[in-house]
Amino acid sequence: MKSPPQQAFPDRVATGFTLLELSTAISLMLVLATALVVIMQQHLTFMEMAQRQKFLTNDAPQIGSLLGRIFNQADHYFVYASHDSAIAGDAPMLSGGKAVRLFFYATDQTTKERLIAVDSSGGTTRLKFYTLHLDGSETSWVVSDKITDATFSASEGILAATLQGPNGEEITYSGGAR
Amino acid sequence: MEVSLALGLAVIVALIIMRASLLAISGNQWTMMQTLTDAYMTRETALSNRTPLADVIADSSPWPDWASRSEQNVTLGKMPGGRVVQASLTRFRINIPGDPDSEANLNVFRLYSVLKYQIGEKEYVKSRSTLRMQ
Repeated sequence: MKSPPQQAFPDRVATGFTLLELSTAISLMLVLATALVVIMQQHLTFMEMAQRQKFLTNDAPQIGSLLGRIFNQADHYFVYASHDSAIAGDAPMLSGGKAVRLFFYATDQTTKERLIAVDSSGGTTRLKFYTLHLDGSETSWVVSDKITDATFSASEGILAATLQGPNGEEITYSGGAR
Repeated sequence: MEVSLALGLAVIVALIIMRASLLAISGNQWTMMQTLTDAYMTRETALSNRTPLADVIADSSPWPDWASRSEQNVTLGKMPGGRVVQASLTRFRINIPGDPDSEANLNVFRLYSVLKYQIGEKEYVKSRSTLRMQ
């Protein structure tokens, strides 16, 4: 009678994985890792898209609301090529201006004067609101620094501000019909 | 077994995140269109207040009678990336003639601007009206 073959190491217990099992596990983990990277890339893409849309979803409505209220309270206005030409009192223009001079009738029968202009100093484009004082000085605050450009026009009897966003957006707010 | 479970879970999480992101982006699309159409309507409101009454009631009125109304394509602005967005604008007016027996005898006109625009497959309508009187 033939005896069964003897094991090379009879004391050793077989507790490990086979090469096939290990290969399968590593392959699945690689697939898992790849999937996670793809998820992360997709999430970043969506985040970037949301960021690109921020000007029209968040910034423009705020600017428009503010400009609308200011424009609609103005009694009359003139559009100028720039902040400096508005201050200097140069000839106003009908379209393509970078500044608008607004006049408000006050209850004490005086006329208050304000200026909204595009300021591109320091590498950042801002829309600024200026208060002109009697001594010739001016104070200002920033309406928005999210624009890349803005132009004012006074056509058909209304005042319009066209804003350019950082990703090619363009939107126009109108008012000043008093 | 464990790796397969993890893989399945990762796929489910990916699908949930993708759905949430798509919902967020599609909501933004709607918001951006609201921003553009609201901005365009500020022009209509300003013009309807500013246009002289003589022009409003003229034969070539920008706000003709309901029967003479016509649609025109208008540009609302540009989306991110510079894509031009257009919509359809209809203007008309409703005349409410004055009562000669009344003390004021006012002729009243309501000027309507109706903007039709699309977001995806759906069509939306937004309107503004201005009361003018003489």
